Amino acid sequence: MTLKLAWRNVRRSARDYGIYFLTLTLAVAMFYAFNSISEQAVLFDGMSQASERMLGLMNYMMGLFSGAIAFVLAFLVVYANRFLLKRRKREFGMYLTLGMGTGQVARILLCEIALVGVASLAVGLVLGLVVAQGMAFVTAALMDTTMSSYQFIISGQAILLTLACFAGIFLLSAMVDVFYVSRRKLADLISQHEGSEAPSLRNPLVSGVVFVSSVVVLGVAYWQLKLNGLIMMDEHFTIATVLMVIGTVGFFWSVSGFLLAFFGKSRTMRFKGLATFTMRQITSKVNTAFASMSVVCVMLFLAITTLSGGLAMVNLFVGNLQEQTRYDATLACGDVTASAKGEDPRQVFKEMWPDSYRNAEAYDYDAVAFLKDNSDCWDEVVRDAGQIDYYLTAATYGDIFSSVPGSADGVEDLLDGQWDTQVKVIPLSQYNKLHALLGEPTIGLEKGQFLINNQLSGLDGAVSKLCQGGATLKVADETLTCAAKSDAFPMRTSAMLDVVMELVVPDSVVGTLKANGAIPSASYLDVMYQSDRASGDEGLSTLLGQAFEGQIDSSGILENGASIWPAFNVYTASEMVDQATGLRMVITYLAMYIGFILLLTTATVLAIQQLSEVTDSLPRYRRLWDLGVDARDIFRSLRAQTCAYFFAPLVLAACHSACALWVLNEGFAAELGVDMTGAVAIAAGLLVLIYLAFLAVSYLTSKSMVKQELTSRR
Amino acid sequence: MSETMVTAGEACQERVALQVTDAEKVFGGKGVTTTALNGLSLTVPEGEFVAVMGPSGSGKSTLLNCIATIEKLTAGSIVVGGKEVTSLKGRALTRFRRDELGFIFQDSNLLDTLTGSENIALALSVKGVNAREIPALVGKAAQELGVRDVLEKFPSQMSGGQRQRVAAARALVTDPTLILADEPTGALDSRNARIMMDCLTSMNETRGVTIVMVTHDAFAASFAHRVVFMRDGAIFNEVRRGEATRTEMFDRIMRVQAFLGGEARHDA
Repeated sequence: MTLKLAWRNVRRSARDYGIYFLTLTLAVAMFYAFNSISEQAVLFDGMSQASERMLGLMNYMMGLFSGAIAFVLAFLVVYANRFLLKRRKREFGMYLTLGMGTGQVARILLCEIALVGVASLAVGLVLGLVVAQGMAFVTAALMDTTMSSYQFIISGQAILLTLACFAGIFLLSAMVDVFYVSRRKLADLISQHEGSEAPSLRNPLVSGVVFVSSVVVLGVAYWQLKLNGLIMMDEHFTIATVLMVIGTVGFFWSVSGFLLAFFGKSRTMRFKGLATFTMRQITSKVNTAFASMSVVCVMLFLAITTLSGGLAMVNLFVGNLQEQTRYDATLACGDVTASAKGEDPRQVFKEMWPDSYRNAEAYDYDAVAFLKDNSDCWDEVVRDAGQIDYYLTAATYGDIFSSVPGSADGVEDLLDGQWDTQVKVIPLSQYNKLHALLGEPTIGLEKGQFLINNQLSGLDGAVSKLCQGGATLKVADETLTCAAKSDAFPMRTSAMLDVVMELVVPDSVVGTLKANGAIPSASYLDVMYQSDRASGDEGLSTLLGQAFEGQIDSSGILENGASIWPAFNVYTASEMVDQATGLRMVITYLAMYIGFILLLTTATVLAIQQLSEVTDSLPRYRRLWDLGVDARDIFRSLRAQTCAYFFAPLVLAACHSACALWVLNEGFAAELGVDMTGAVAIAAGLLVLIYLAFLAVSYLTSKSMVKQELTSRR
Repeated sequence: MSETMVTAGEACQERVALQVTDAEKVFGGKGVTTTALNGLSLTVPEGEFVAVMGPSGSGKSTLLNCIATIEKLTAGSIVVGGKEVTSLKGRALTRFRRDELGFIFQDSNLLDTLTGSENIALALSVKGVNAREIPALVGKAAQELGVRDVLEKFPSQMSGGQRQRVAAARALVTDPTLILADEPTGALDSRNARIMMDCLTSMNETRGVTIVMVTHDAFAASFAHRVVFMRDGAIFNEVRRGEATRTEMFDRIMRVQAFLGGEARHDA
């Protein structure tokens, strides 16, 4: 009986359950599709180790964020369910007057939830399976790989995860519902007029004060965000977050009272058609729903920033990929002698890495000679190679900037911590050898000059000040002057542009340092292959295996490095490309996943509220119609209300996002030389499009509801 | 009762506010049909206050809804202020409702989100009345109905009687050809009902507005110039007040009602 009644109820309130069902189905589909991405990868051809690692990372991150997403979805489901309950409270009251117990009513309700839940889970999973197949192609494109043999993949793990997550959510919402029904008094349930109290109005004066303060609070929050620069989670960030939430809630609490005060002053506005009615409708709605509008606003803000920030990050990793991978491979001994100021690099190297020190000393730190001597395939594998050695000097970056007053203005944050770092210098001949390697014209340097090589665009301004101001550098009792032109030349293959103010000096200067007993504190060997990169990587692997035979385990040498001079780490161009594309995929998907779920949630909450508002207002529209108000004017009013209701949170969220993204663009991204404008435009466009679609659907549904009311018999 | 029996046709030579001729209204589709109006004719001259009485199901509300253009006649014609309303469609229909009619309903039908003055002003602003004239017109109508001091209140903050009078002010403020009142005292206690009826009477007398009121309440009906009794979708009898006092009118109405009730019992 219970089941039969539940089934009948679900069918009868199909429109109400429709939104609920649609929301759940979409949520389930998204949840499954994103969690199954990594398992789709079995379809891809020629997955490199780096790509597989990235898929692993992706799987891990998806799992991590799915937890947070599940919370958001739980909120949504409980919210949507509560909305349904409120609308049907008279029906439940009727059951109680007919003599049913609350337990029985709760059982009916549970059955209904279970019916809709199972249906939406099933439909959502099927939809998710279909979407996931489509996403496999997108994934393949994002990872620059192909799928030669396609097959339909069903991810058991993702299905289990989805089922477990939503079973939990349903259970939670069922508990909330049953609690709601069993706590209600019969009189509450059957009373007809719930909203018969006066529309909630705020004192105009209080509203004005709160409105102005909340705008001020938001201003302070923006300013704190600017101070924070979105680089680190410091106290500015905490203050900004707290103030933003307070300001947002205050804004929605007071905005309608504030506007109404202004509106009341204008006679022409007040007495124009339905203007007063529309205004009252909007303000009473905003007044009662200010809390949920604040939540919606914050979630929209998170959606916009996550999506556009994510897409900008992709640029950061992939945008300069070409420049980062110009050498086929780089053998790196980066800062192996890094030491506290004043320590002797030679001493550190000798103590920390005795084997490396022995090798390096035997070949006078010439990596090519070492590798040629200890393997038999150097000439087959390597077309050409260039070594670059960094020698530590007594001067610091602070000394260089101090020599040109004002040169560090505006980049203090960026130089923070680098001020006391000892400067390292590179001999010009090695620097020019790299130019030759890449087929670029060599650089000339006059005696007594040094050259700044910098790829970090955030420092471009400071560097040009140094060049024009004739900055000086004291190396081994010789004072060098900065060359008038700086350079931005890639020194090695790496995951990110990482050439930050490297200094090139005449060979004679390095000669003096060497004569004083200096050894390189870091060195890199850039290698160009004879063959293509794939077979070159294999050759290099063999070569390194031979070179370090008996000293290290040679498996996975390209990925893990040899941890011995001259190949502590190995960076191959193909690995960097795989990593970058992998990261691109991970970030893109994460941003999309979080962004879209948040958007789906906010849009659904708004749509539900809009429809419930319209349902409550149907008698009012009927009255207007009876008074002889044109249907066109009624629909115009409805449109204005829907737009106001959807746009109010969007506009404030856009303000928040604009501030956050501006800070991000000016600070972090500018320093790394990434322009976020494009990514932000794409993300914002996408979000707004989806948002507008929800708005349109809500409006059209409301319109048809009102139309039906107007044409129905009294 | 013969002295009070007057046929609708010979009513008046004055200008006619409402003319209903051979109105027929049938509800229902192919299977079961209900005839709500069965060839009803009624003429209301300008400035008259007519009450329509009758038992439940006699078709009086249907008649009012058809005059209000909320429902359409199956056959026959309704002319309001010289305009044939049965042929109106779409925007012309809403414009007619807006410009020619004023409504007072049992549940006052005020918009709960608007204050008293905004409710009254709405009737003017949707008509496109110049914004500068609106406050004065609202004030005047409120004055006439004695609701000046509740103008800034919301309907939920008013008493039932105040709500009804605000609704009356809203109906009145646009100077309609015809005010239609559907059980205006239905939800009121006797004191408020009396105040309401006094208001309607004074509206009728000072502004000369034509009122057609549907009611169950013999007391309310006794304020009218003429009471029309309906049964089975047609006019069965009518009582004119003429020079009689309101109490005398009330007695006459009671007599007709007693007769109607008695006959109904005999039928059963």
